[in-house]
Amino acid sequence: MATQAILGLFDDASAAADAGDALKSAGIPESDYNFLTDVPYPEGALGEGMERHRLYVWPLLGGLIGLIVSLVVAEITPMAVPMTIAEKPILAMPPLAVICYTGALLGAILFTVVGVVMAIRPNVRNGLSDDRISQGLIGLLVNTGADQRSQVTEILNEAGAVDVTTGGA
Amino acid sequence: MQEGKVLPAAQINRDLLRSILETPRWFWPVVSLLGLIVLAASITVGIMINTGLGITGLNYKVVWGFFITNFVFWIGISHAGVMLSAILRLAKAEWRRPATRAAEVLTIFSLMTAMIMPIIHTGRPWRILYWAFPYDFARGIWPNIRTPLVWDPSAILTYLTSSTLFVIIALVPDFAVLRDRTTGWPKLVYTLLAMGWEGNPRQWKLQIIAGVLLSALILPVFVSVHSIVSWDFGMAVAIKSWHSTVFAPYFVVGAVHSGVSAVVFAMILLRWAYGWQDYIRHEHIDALGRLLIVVATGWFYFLVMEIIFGIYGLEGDELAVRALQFLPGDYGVAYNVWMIIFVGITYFLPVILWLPKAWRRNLWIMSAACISVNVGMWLERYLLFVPGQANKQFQTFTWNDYLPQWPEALIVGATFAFVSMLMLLFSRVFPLVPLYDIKEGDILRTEMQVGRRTLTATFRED
Repeated sequence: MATQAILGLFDDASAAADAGDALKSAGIPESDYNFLTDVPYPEGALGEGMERHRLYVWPLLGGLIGLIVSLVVAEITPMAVPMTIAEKPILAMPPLAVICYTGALLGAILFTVVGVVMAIRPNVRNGLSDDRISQGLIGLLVNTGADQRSQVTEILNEAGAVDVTTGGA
Repeated sequence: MQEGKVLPAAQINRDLLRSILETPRWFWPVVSLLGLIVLAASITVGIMINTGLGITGLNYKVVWGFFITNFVFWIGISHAGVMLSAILRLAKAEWRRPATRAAEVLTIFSLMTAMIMPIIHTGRPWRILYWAFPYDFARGIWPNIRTPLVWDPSAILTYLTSSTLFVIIALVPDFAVLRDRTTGWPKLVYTLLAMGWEGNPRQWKLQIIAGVLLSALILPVFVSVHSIVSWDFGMAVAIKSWHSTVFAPYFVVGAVHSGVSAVVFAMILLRWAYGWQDYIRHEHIDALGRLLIVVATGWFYFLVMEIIFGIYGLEGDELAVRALQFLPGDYGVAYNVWMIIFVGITYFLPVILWLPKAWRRNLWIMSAACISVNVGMWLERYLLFVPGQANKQFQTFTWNDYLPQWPEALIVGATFAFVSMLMLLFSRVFPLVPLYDIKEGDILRTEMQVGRRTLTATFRED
């Protein structure tokens, strides 16, 4: 069955949270609606469930890979092409520590960013957005079947939405 | 007590995006003027590459002069970004909000400028590839990883990459606001940069966690970068006054001192240029002024320690350099006079100006103090590097002094124009004050009654 996007706009966080609760009570699963805001509200302020993530894995993985790569560059390279300069040892610990430290941190940061970029990808967009969200209104975007359209619209209006718009099927 | 009033989100968008959606009349003339200065310096670099480093004041004895001084200076300025953004973000300091973006962007442009200096300084810029990267497989020329001159590019490139990514991740929500407010090809660009941002709770949570993670990861890089820059000098056994164990913390604290001062001055300029009085408020400048007193005093401690460490060993060559730095003598350059000026304008003058609250809230006085610090910090690097090289050592026939020539002065002067131009161009396409950060501060703000006083307070989530 084709789904339709309905966007309710609220000027108050409590009203938006109430609308979310009402949708839940009406049997609409949490995965079918989402709050859209222009500012990070404290987690749970809109009545949404706690999000789980695995972002912490990325810096650990990146740090390990960065460490290995820098170890190879800093130690294997001079061993492969030894240059004797003054009386310095070919394999020296202080330079190794410096290069590995930098490499591990670079790897951790690069992988963290990759992890973030992959994780913040939105769910399938419905092409329904409203410029008023970036002006402080709170959006409640609901994906629903045509049969529940009027019910969802009513719930949003009853909760105090300042406007309700409907997207394409 | 917090000042300012809670502003509607629409007004925040309008005010902070004004630099992007409207072009002030002064903008292009100023950018063109700065561009001309940069062009003149670029031509000078071309002449220098064609003619050789002989047109500079560098000589057999003093091989590191204005360019390397300027390199360390800009690395120092770059430290403000992380200092303000990462530390204050982790500490959840409320007054960080308007300052973080400008500080981070200043970091990126300062680092880019700093990296240009040693490339110009080599005289044969293309050879830097063999020096810094494992590149020339055919001839078996490899970087010598035992020298800090190789650690240095690795640390700075890491810092530049990290800082750039840090800024991009922090900009994503603001890209989305711009996406919704532009048309044509700018909209296409902002749409790509926004990476599908719609502002749902999951995205916000990840964005905040990313900010915390990247702040925590970038801080060790921040400390290591200027430590490693200091080792460019500290590892050099041959030059007296350079070979010091105190250099790493001394350089890091000095970098924060000059960097935060530069950010304060940049914030005052932005407030004036774009009319951001509601965002960059006196309370923010005041808080930064208080921070600077602590940082300046920490820096002064290390300055004194560096001198004491040098003198304490009673080595003849080291004492000779110190005499050159501090005592009047029959030298071509009166280093002792510059030394007095440097200490005065880097510590005593600004700290005196920062002590009274009323003066910290006077933007003219704060600007003067911050410029004074940065002139002083530039001199500090010069007086740290040049006398050690110029000093008469055991090979008396190599005795020489250093007088910078016009190409060096022009190129160094143009780096300031270059950074200013990049900052202005950035402000033309991206917001220099983070929109969502300001809005978040506003939604968490409330008024509370304490006895007979009504105070503005901000809730903070743990």
